[in-house]
Amino acid sequence: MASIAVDRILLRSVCLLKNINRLSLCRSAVIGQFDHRLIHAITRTPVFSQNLLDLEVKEVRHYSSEAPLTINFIEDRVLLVLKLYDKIDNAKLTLKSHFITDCGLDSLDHVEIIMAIEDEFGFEIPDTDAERLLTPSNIVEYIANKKDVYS
Amino acid sequence: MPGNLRAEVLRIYKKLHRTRQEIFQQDEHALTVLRRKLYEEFKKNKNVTDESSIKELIKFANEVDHEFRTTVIQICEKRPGVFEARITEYTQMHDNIPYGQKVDKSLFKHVKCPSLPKK
Repeated sequence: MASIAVDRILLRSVCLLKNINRLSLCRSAVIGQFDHRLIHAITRTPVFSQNLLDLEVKEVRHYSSEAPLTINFIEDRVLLVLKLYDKIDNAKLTLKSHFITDCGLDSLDHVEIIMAIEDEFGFEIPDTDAERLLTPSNIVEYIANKKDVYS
Repeated sequence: MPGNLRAEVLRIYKKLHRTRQEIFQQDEHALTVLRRKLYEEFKKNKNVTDESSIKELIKFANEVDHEFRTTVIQICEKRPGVFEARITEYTQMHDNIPYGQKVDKSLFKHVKCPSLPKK
């Protein structure tokens, strides 16, 4: 535990090391947790400070995760996917329209739609679930459930 | 059509589409043509009601899928004159047959290979 804490402090101080000339400043910042002698060691031995600079370079960059989904966003994406599907008449398409009775599709088209949705949202929909997803709003609801979106 | 057979037909339909997307990646023309073709071929048999013939057709679809996966190879031009074949884990490959003027033909008696010179 202690070593983790020290590591963290070291990491944090790495950025400060850039301003090593203004060490007095850092000292006042870290002085509570940090050993004076260590700071001296850092300033005096260039090898060590070089290592620390390496550390700085290797710092892991954290990419931001994907934007949180909302019901509206899912709706838009689902409708967009459906509109891009050539056999659906865009004018007839609403959230409530039934693929087979309203849009005039057959079960083969339905399979293709489900595949397009799978590709869009990046997860697989099992066949047993897929056959229940007969309107766009069904699909939106299903995806919201899968992705734990409630707003 | 009994429910499980229907589901099976739809499953193989989906599988064929996934195979299509896999083997013809980035080849828009082939993707579109095959998509239409798959749909037509399935549609053509929509009035088949006999259980055994449906099973037969499903078997055929599975064979088609297998054939696609094992024998279709995409080749793309990396730079002018240099091509790269995309070999997948499913691609069917045979043993290499050494080629040369002094091939010992007796080694290949069991191999049917039209390119080998006859005695």
